[in-house]
Formats: sequence, C-alpha cells, structure tokens
Amino acid sequence: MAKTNITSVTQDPNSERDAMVRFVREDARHPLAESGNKELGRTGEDLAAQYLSLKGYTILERNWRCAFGEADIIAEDGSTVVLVEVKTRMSNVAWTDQAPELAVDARKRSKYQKLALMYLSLQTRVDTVRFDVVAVNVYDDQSARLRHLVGAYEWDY
Amino acid sequence: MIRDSFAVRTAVLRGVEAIPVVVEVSVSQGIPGVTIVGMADTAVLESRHRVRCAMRECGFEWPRARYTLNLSPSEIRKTGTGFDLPIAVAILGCTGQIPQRDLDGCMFVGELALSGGVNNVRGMVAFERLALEQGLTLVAPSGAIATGGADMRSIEVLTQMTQGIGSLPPADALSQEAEDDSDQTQRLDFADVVDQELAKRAFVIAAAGEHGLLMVGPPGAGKSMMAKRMPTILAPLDEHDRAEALLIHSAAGQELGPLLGGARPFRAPHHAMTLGGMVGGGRPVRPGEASLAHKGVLFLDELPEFGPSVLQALRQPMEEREVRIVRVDGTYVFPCDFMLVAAANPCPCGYLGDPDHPCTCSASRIQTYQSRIGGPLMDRIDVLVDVARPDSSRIIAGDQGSSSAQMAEQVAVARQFASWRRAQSDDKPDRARSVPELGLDAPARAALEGAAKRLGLGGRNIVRIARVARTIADLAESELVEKDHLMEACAYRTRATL
Repeated sequence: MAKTNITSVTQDPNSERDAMVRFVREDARHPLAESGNKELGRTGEDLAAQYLSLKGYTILERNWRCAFGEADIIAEDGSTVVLVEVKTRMSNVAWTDQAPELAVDARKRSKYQKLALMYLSLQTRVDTVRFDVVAVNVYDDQSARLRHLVGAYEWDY
Repeated sequence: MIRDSFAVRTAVLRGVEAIPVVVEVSVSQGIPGVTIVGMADTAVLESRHRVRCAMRECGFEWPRARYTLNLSPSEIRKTGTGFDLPIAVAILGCTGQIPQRDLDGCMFVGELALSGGVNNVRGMVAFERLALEQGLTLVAPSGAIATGGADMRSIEVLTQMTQGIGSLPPADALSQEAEDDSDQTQRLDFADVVDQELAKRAFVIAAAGEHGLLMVGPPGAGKSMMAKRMPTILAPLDEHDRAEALLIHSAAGQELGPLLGGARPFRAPHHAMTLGGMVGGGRPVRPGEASLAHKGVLFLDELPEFGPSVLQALRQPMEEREVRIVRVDGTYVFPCDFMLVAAANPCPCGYLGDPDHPCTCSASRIQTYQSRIGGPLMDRIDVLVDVARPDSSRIIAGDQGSSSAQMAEQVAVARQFASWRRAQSDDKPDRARSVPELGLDAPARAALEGAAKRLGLGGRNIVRIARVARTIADLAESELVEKDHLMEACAYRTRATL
C-alpha cells in the first residue's frame, strides 16, 4: 500500500468551508484512478488524519475495531473525543456538487453511536463525544478537496 | 462532569381543556443529542429539529451536550406543536443564555418557525383559561388574542427572551379587524326575504323558545336565505356564552374574529359530512360542527341527504346539550347547546305539492326520501313550517316584510317575558317543565286533548306542542296559554305532505 503525505493545505477559493490539499504518494504502484476503492479509501483516511493533526487534534486511534464495527479515526479535540467517519470519492474539479458526506446515512450514524458508547465504556478519561465527518474529493494523484464537518450529527432518540 | 437541570411550565390541549405540563430538561456530557420522554407524539418529537434550527438562527448557542427532556406528568399523551417554545426556553434557561428570573411564574405555549419566529397554535383560549386559574403569565405567540382576564404576553421572535419576560408586550385584546368581520354578518337582514311572513313567524317562535325548526319547500323558496339570517334575530352573545364558544372554536383551530365581535356562531356543514365531523372526533380529538354551533345555529340544508348515522348521532347530544366521546384515554365532553335549523325539499325533485310545477318523482321514491327525515330526529324538531315559492310579482315589486330589527325586538320581548314568568314560579327552564306546569288555560287544554286524539300524537309530541304554545303565549306576553296559541302551535306540527 502506498503511503500518503500532505505537502500543503490551502483554503479552497470557491468555498470557505473547504480546504485544498496537495499530497504525494510514496511507493505507489498504480495511479489512484486504477487502484480500486480500498486504496482510495485508505488514501482519504490518511489525508483526513494528517489534516486533523495539522488542525491540532491528537489522533488516538486509526481503524478502531470492536464488536459493533470500525471507526475510521478516533481523535481528541481538547477534552472531547471525536469519532470521525471519512468518506472519499474520486472526483473532478468541475463536479462541485459531489458530496461524499451524503453517504453517511442513518445506518452508519447508528453504528457510530454504538461505537461511541463502547469507546466511552472502555476508558474513563473523557466522557464528552462528538461525531465528525470528513469528506474527501480526490482529484488526481496530487490534489484533493477536504471538507471537515464538525458535529455532523447528534444522537436523538 | 457538568450536570444541570431546569423546568419550564407549559400545557397540553385535551379536547377543549388545557392540562398543565412541566418541561424538565437535564443536560449532561456524553453522546450529544436530544431525548424526549413523556408520551410525546411525532409532532412533539419533531420539535427537536425546529428548536435546534430556531436557536441557531437567532444567534443562540446550541452547546453540544446530551439533553434529556421530560414532559411531566408523563402518563398523559402529548400532542401538538405548542411544546417548541417551552422546550427552547428550557434549554436556553438551562444553558444560561436568557435571564432565569421570572420564568417560574410563566406558562409558555407556541410553535417555532425555523427562523426563530413564534407561531400560533390551536387552543390558545384554553391555555389562557388555565393560566388564569393558576395565576401564571401566559407567554403566547403574537397572533394570539387575549380573551380572558389572564396576564398574557406576546412573543414574536425567540430572541426577545434575552430581554426577560418584563420586556414582552402584552397580547392584543379584541382587535379592530374582528369588529369589522362581525359587521358583515350583521348586514344580513330578514327584510331581504320577500313574501315569507309565515316562515318568518316560525323563525321568531323558534328563536324566542329555542326550538328546533324544519323548513320544507321547493328549491328557490328562500330556505337557506332565511336560515343564514337566523343569527340576526338572536340576542348577541353574553360574556359567559361567548367565552364557551371561543373556547371551542379555539380548540378546533377556527377563526375567532366574528365571535369576538359578539356574533353568534352559524354553522352550515355540507351534507357529505362524516359522523366524526358532526359530533367531534379524530386523533387528537377535536370538537365537531355540533359543538362549533354551541350557543348559535346549526343549519342542516338538504336534511334528507345527510347520512342516517350522522343524523342519528345528533339525537342524544341535542337532548343533553353536550357530546360525549369515549376513547381509550378517557371521556371527552364538548358542550353543544345549539338551535337546529333544517331545510328539506318535499321530494327528490323538489316540486311535490307545488301548484305550478309537476312533481316527477315516483311514489316509492317520495316515501323513501321522506322516511329519512321522519322518525326520532323529527321528534326533536318542534317547529315545522312549509315554505312556498314566493309570489313572482312581489319579488319584482321588491316587497319588504318584517325586518330583522322588528323580529329581534319580538324575540327579545318574549324572552324577557318568559324569564319574568319563570321567576314568578320556580325558575325551572321550560324544557324541564311538564305540560301542567306550562300554564294552559281550560279551553287550551281541551283543544290539546282534541288535537292529540285526532292526530294520534305521542307523548313527546304533545309536550312539544305545549312548549311551542307556551312560547307563542310569551310572544303575546300572556301569562296563560290560550286556545289560539295552542292552535297555532299545532299548525307547526302537522304537514300535509309529510
């Protein structure tokens, strides 16, 4: 698997909520467009994790698994534990309306809610949780657009 | 761990009654979100989204935390959107974004728009009544009109809460617009109805004695026209009756304007009406047309076209002057003290007995048609009057008969006399009196006996004739019911074609 490293982060000139990211892929055998969804998703998660670290978050876990499923990233923002779902799509600069975050549906949310309960029960340090979504539009092998939704959803029942 | 809780008063509408409810909120850390407990229905659960958007839109913060809301007492089913405002206030108060002082002495009811505006909900009159009983200040949407003595404040936007309760303006009392509305109904006049003096007399009798009235006549005779003018000869609503009518109209989500102007309710439901629509029902239970006509007139045009079950359902409420609806969660009681005015054609084509038009209906059709209005419901209609088509030359000449003002005067005189007469004895209402207690003189009694034998009248019919005769005597300001009064009353009981 290729290793992905962010080289620069800039504000998207078209949208104040988005960040444009440039990156390099090390040891890549094929271009992203030919590597399949698994490789694409892995690249998106790498980008998201590095982006969150740059924003000052502490990454606690990557691909944290338990009986209920897997959380892409578990990070710490101040005194809050953040459970991050990363959604990545191969995209084109012209497709401005493509929104990977729409794929975080009710089933996915309820999975994260169970994961949150599980994670809280396994440690005693923090008891405040937040659910974030990072949507990644990958344009080519060097650039992508990142949208970080803080507190994307809550748990009403 | 931060933990805090807060409570705000509100109320839920059940039938026409408001039941006090307390919204308790508890804030804790953990998985962010809102949980509502306390038998809330979907409309209440959806308030989470409205409250969240409204608070953000108004510039308030929505601290990311776990909110547990309890609507107490929890055993009552909570319905409606009036919980939006109290829930928002509870969360704002709990998170210290609005002054908490004075909130305890207030009751909040209102629906939130996504923009933070506060919208009106039905049943505001009931909420106001409850606030008055409990000595609370009602904080209501700006569309709500103050009708009772409660301290009522009006709130337009959620942001006004930051200034405290004291800065909210008092709610509008009776508005100018409402008075204009009532003018319009007052403009109807019996003088517009040409050549129907007999029927108008029947209307005066019905109005004076609160009798049910049935008009039978061909199309175009002016039946609906006269029925619409019935409220103009009734005394305006007094304070108590108006409050009751307002309560029902408000709970059903109907316009309050005409009532505030003092006009009596006039309901003319279409004959395709369902049973639930007539006596009340639905979920949540709402009052029906019979209750909306409380202290006013219920006009059933084309009486035989109404469903038999709908008409039969009216019988018991008409006797008891209230509707009882039994549901799993208890009994709902709606008052329905209305005057019944009904109209019917003599046969399906409408021309039976008309000297100028031949009737095209077969005998069996006529019988089926007439049998629908016969029977038990007819027993509850005291005054039956034939309405013939008016003379064409009189219509062209624009003849004017008695006007609403004259007829209202007669009704007022008769009512005054009747209450004086009743005060002389035991003050019982006439409908609770037996025949001997109605004051028939000897010739009248003999005439009643004769008529009863000749027409084969049942017990209820005899009592009804005697009561109508009593009203006619009141119109003549006569303490005793004389033979003439009784004979006139008999004329409103029989009909050649029915």
